[in-house]
Amino acid sequence: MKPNADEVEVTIFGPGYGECMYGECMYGECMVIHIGSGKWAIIDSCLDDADEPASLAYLRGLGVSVESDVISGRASHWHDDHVKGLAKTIAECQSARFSCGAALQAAEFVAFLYAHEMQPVKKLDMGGTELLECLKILKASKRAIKPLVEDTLIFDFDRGDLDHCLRVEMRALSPSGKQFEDFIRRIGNFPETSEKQPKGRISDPSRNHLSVAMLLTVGDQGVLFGADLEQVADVKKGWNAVVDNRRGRGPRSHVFKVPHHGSHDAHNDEVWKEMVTEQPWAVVTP
Amino acid sequence: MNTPLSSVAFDDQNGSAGHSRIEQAQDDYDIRKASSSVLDIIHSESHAWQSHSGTGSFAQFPPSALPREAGQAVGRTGTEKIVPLVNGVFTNKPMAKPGRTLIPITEWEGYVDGISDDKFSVKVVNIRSKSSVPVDEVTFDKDEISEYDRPLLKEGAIVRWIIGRERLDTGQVRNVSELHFRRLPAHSKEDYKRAHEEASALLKGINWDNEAEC
Repeated sequence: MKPNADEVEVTIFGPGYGECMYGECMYGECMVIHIGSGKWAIIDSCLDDADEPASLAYLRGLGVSVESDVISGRASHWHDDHVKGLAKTIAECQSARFSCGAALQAAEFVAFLYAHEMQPVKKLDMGGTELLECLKILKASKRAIKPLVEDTLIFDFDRGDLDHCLRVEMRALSPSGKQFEDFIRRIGNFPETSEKQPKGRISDPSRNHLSVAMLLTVGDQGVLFGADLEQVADVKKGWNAVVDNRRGRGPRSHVFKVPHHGSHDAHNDEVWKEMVTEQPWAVVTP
Repeated sequence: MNTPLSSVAFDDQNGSAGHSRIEQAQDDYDIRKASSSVLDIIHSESHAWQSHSGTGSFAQFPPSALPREAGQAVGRTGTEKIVPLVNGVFTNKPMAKPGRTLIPITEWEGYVDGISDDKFSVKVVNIRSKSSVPVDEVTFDKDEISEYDRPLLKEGAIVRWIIGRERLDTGQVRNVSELHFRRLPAHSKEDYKRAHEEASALLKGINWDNEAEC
C-alpha cells in the first residue's frame, strides 16, 4: 500500500525474506525511502527473481511513476550485491539525482574498473560492469552526479516543503578524507602492484572502506544506513571516523540498517552507544 | 567426438624447428577460439602433453617456444602446459588423460571470494544461467586443488568448476568434481594505458555536482 503524503517509509530489500519492512530480492540489498509528498529515494540496487531491479518493481507495484517521483538515487559502494540493476534504475528514474562515492570521480579508479573488464572471461562479470554502465548513462543524459565523502549533504527539504512539515536531510557519513586519499593512492599504483599476477575479478580488500554510510534525519528522528562500512583499527577510517565526526551531533537513530550484513568486522560498540537510541529497530540483510 | 592426433610445429628459442605429437582424447567440451589478444591457458592434472623427451606429464618450454599463428598473441605465464593449436584454433579444452573421457554434467564459472586456513569460498554462476551474477557460494577444502594451482589461489582468481561423469576405457564410471583455475595473463602497462584512455574519455564531460544540493 502506498504511504500517505505525510508519512515517511523505509523499505529494505534483502534475499529470501518477505516480512514487514523487508522486500525480497534474489541477491544483495537495496532501500527505498518515501521522503514525503510522493517523493522517493533509492539507495543501492538488487535484482528480484525476475532479474528486475527490486526497487522499480516495488514502486511500480504501488503505482509510483518512477520517471518523475524518484528524486534521488545512490550507490553506497561498488560491491555487486549493492549495484546489480543500478544502471537500469538510473536509466528509468530520469528525474533522480544520482550520487555515489567520490572514488568514481577519479580517473585512476575508473581505469581500474576498465582494466578488469578487458579480460577474456565471457560469463562472469568482472565487478565493474554495472558502475561503468551507470556512468555512461548519466553522461549520455547529461545528468549531474554528486560525489560523496564524509559530511556531504545529499539532499534536504526545509520544514513546510513536505506534507509532514518536518525538515528532512540525507547526509553521507563516510568515507573519511584519509580513507579516500589512501584508496586513490593505492589504486594509482595498480599496474605495478598487479604485475606478474594473473588477472582476476576485482577484489580490492578496501572496497568496503569506501562504503558510504548515510544518515536520514526526519525532524528529530534518524535512520542510520550502515552500507558495508567496516570497523578498522585506524581511528581516522571506518566506523571510528564516523563516530568521532558525529559525536555530539544528533539525532540518534531509531532505525539502524546494520552494516555489512551483520558481519562482525563491521561492528563498533560506540555506534550503538552514541549514534542509535537505546532500543532501535535494527535491520539486517543477510 | 574423436579428433585425430595433431602435430604442432614450433620454433624453439634458438630458431630450430621441432615437433611434438599431442595425443588428444575425446571429450565433450566446445572448442572456443582464442581471444584476439590473449591465450587462455587452463591447466589441470588431466592435461596430457608429451614432449619430445617424453618426460612425465609436464613439458617446460621457454616463452618463445610457443605455437604461433599469424595475428595470434600468446600469453606467457611461465612453465604451464600449453594447449596446442589444433585445426586452426587454439583450444582451451582440458585434455583428458589417455583412456579417460569426461562428460560435464554441470559447469559453473566463479571467483575466489574468501580464503581461510584450510578452506576457500568461491562465488559461482552456472554457465547456462542467463545471469552473469554469481549468487551461489561454494566452499572448498584447499586439499582439493593441486600443488601446481595453489599459487593461483588468491581473492578474485577466476575458476571453472565442473561436475561430470568420468568414463575409463576399462568401463569404470564415476562422478568427479574438477576445479580449474584460469591462468589469465597479468595486467600489463599497455593494458592499463588503454584502460586509462577509456576512463579519461568516459569521465570527460560528466557533470560532477560538487556544489548544488537536490
